[in-house]
Amino acid sequence: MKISLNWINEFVEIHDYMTKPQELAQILTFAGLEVESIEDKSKNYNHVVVGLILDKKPHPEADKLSVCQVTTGQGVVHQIVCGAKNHKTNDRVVVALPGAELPNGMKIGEAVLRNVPSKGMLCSFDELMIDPHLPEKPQGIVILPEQAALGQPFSEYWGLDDIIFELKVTPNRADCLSHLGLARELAALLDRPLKENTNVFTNYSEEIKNPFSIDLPLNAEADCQAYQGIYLKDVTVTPSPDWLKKRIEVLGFKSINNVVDITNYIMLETGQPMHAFDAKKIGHEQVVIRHSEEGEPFTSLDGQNYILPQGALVISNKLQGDVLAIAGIIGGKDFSVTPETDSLFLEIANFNTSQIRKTSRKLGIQTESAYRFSRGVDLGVGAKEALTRACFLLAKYTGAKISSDIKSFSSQSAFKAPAKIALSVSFAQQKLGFKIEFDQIEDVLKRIGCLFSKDDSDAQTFWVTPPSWRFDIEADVDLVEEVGRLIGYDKIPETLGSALNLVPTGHQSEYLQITRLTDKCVQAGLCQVLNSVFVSQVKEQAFTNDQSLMNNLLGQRLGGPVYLINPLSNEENQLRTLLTLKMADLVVQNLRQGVTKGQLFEIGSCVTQSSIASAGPQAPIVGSGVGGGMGADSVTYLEIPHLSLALWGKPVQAWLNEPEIPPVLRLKEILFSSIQSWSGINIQVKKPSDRSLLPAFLHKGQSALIYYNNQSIGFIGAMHPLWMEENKIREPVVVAELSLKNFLLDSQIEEKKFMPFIKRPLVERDLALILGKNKTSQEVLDIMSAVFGPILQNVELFDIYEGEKVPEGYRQLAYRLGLQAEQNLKIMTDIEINALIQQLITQLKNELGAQLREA
Amino acid sequence: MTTIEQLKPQLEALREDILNAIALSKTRPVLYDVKVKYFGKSGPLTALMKETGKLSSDLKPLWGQLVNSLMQEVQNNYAQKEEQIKQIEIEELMSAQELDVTLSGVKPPMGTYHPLTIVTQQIVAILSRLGYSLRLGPIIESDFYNFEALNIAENHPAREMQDTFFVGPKHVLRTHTSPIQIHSLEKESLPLKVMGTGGVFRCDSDISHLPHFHQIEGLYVAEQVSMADLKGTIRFFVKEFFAKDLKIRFRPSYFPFTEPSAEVDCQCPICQGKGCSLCKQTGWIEIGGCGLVNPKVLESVHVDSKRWQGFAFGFGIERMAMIKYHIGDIRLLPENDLRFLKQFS
Repeated sequence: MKISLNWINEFVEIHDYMTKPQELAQILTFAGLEVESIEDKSKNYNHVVVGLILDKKPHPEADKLSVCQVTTGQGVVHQIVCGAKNHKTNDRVVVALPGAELPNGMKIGEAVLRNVPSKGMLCSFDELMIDPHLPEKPQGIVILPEQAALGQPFSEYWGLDDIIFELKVTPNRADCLSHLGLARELAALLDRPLKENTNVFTNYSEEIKNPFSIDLPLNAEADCQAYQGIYLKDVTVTPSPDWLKKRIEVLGFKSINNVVDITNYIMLETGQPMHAFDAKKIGHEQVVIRHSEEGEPFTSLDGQNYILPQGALVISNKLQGDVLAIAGIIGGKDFSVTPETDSLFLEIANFNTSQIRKTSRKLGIQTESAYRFSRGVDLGVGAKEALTRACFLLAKYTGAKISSDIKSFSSQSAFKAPAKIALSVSFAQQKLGFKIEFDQIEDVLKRIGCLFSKDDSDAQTFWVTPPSWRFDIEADVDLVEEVGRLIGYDKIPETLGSALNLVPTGHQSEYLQITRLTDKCVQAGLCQVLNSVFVSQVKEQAFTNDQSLMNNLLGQRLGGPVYLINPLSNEENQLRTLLTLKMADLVVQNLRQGVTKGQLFEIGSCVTQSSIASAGPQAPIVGSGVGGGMGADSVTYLEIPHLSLALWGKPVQAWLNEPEIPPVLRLKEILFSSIQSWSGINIQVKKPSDRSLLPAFLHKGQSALIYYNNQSIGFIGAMHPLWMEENKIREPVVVAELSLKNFLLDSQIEEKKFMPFIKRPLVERDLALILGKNKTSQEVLDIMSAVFGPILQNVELFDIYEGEKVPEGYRQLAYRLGLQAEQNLKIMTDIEINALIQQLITQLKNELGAQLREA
Repeated sequence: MTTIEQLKPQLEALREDILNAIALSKTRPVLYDVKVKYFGKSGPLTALMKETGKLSSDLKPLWGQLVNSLMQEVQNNYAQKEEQIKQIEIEELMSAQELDVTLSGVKPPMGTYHPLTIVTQQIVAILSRLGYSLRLGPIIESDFYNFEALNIAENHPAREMQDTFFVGPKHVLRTHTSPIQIHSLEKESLPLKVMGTGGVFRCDSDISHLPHFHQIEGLYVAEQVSMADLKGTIRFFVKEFFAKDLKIRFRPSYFPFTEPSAEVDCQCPICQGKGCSLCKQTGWIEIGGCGLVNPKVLESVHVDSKRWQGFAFGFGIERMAMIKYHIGDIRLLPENDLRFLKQFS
């Protein structure tokens, strides 16, 4: 909110701060009213003063120029060469002296124009960047009236010697949304008195009858705490006087006419919004405050057409009649004050904050009035101040005669006396953490306008009644804040004291597990990324093609995606159900930036709806911290952490020939070893029998599903050739993603225990198998595990051969098996081993049609 | 009988031969041949030993001594030579295996933590030392946890402070990590000291705001809790986090869930209060918000606010990372460009 210091100075003496506004800003900021910016209106008019032309002669060498002798008072005369034509001797003018820098950026210095020295410039309105509010834009330099004092700074003359504070007012301090309110705050902070109001109106006319009656139906009472309807006759609507225009314009308001400007002025001054209707246009003499019906039409002051929803509070001219205004938000065009208006119906009311907020949000109308009403307007002192000041100005500047018959209404609850709050010195001391004297508390609370009385029975307790405008003060802690704020937070010492007397309970296990997995991934050489959770619904659908398939292969999730009701854009209108979409985008982005290779990982939650029927108010617990909430709308949400990996580009540009491992296998080993060393769990990859079960964005020939305990939990593979083509990528890109739900649910991730290791070397056996290309290595490994069980310590694939020596459609895989008896007690004999090998070969032959290669 | 004098020249001659042969040997096979030829089982030295038969019994030990000492000498000489040749051979081998070690090898991929993770973990570590235990919570919260329980009633003007994403009529993306406080207060026993962290969401996106950002906050509830202890806690945190003895100051502010409330400024860690571009020449930077838990919050979860008090404080993780690493543009953080990420290895 913008605040004029000149205006504030009318209520509390702050003239001494005009030269050091930063100090005043600091005082306000450290009282919780943050000053965001300070604008010195006069700084553009330094060295610009009022002058008088003593003499004007034509320039000896230029027809279009004149040479003027200009005095700025006290006998000082400047010779100034001027190009304008509208000035003459004895005119008062605006002189920019050397050193001035005008708002349009023009710098004034001493110059010689066609051999005539010139010390300054006579200014036009354009050069001063000032709108004089004249019907026709004046040409040439500014000619000031005779009253203008010689040598007076122009900024002062034109009312521009002001400093404007932009304040960030927190929602609890609605009382500071006006000059009077902020002046009260400053009076308290600086411990200075408030000046007396001179704009008091008493001259109400008994003769003038107020023709209007106010009707507030019972069902609308809760939304309108108070209403005053004032009738004004013999009004002359004209442009506002200059001082009024300047006052409101400097704060960003547009001057309309004297009536409208005065209502805005009073709002800025007292914080009380008010609205003036043209009394004749209301037509019917009964003003009704009621709720709107669905579909009622309304045209606002600014010409916007609205169809009202049901239940908005409106001012109407009779039951079911025209809508004069949306209460507290904006007036209607058809009832507004125009130059022809000669009588007014002036509304000073107080509406329910929730009602105003709701309606303003629903209709998307933000006005100064709605802003103040939605935060709360002072029903007590504020409304009275507003009435008398408004009537004073309207009578003075519009010639209005004001009926003494003010039609008013206020609900019983509205004017109930503010509650007394008990506060003890010890409570304040304990909360703030330092010693405060009784008198100090009394002093600061009285300064902010509280009534103060001692408790008869307890010398350390007193009763505090906050002023009507401080409706944010409801409890003892609010008073403690006021005491702390006014004494100064810098008085609060720094202690740790009792804050260390507590045995910690330990971090939530999910955090520890995820942190450890992050460590493992980084150790595996992956770079961590954190993508936004937002995706485009259309993009994700196109990417995954089949949402339910994706759900199945990432675990058994039930519902569809979660959409934002109010997204920032269609690019970000859904919560991600998988991480890979953003990860793949990220690879493309990095490649476009010339990053030719990389390997990334992300651990993050993916979100879906769950159609689990609501069993109660509690959210279904999907493990410690895994899972979402549930509420009245009986939709539950699942938030499941996923791990996503991506790898792109050639592995190394080595000068030695390294056997090139396909990227998907590189990524698989990174994934397996990270998961293994994190959880101790061996996951598997399997090609589904039906290729259509693979994610749509993957290369069907180079992808597989990831299994954990025979349940699909994710996928791994190279990106689909069409995706590569669309993104113009030639380097290989491989991705993997899996749900971490089972790992975090299972208590399997325990501390590792030391296992005695066997000190004899492994027995190694090599096996070369010829098998059909449609058979996978995993199938071979599964059979090996089944036959040997735990004695199979490791298997290494050391050769793959396809070519002349094996039949077409076949390949040869050579494995080295490392075998070891389970316990150290037993030594395996060759006979035992051979028997198992034989069994393995038979099983491989029967189940996969594999042949042992003859040595 | 033969005298020793008669045999001695033979011994001398043999000695000379053997030492010559050893000296002339350049490789280990040649040297080995010398061994076989001269002092193998059928070599001349063994033969000389057999000459003792020709000597009288009193001379036999003397002769034996002489031969043995020669044997000793040539064997030593041999061993020396063998060592010498080995040295030369190893040198030659190493010369043959000469490699330009300034050539580049294969660089192992270095993994990196995202700066937000690094900062989160640092903050968690510091607050752990003060006894805070970490809690997580869902990102989708009901209106109750995100607002009502935190004293932000429907149509409360404070809702304007947080532009909220809705996913259902009564469900939002959490706008702050404070709902974690409510979950903890509901589930855990008092006194209590917890911290919550994670992603939070506001429908607000411009040069300095991200719609998805991260917070961390602490909550302490006990029978007597004061602003002074809160200030001491934050001072400790600031000193540890920036590893500098920076001062802090509280500015009165407003949060519905705390009363009194304060914004926390700390001395600029770059210029230490002298004024620089980070702190816009003020010497201070805003790092977070805090306050004493509003009794209404405790009451909303049925905690006796007459008995229990609390304080809470929170920081934006993006902001802390930007201050710590001198990151000027917040949008670099979610961009995940590898050239950015690699700087935090």
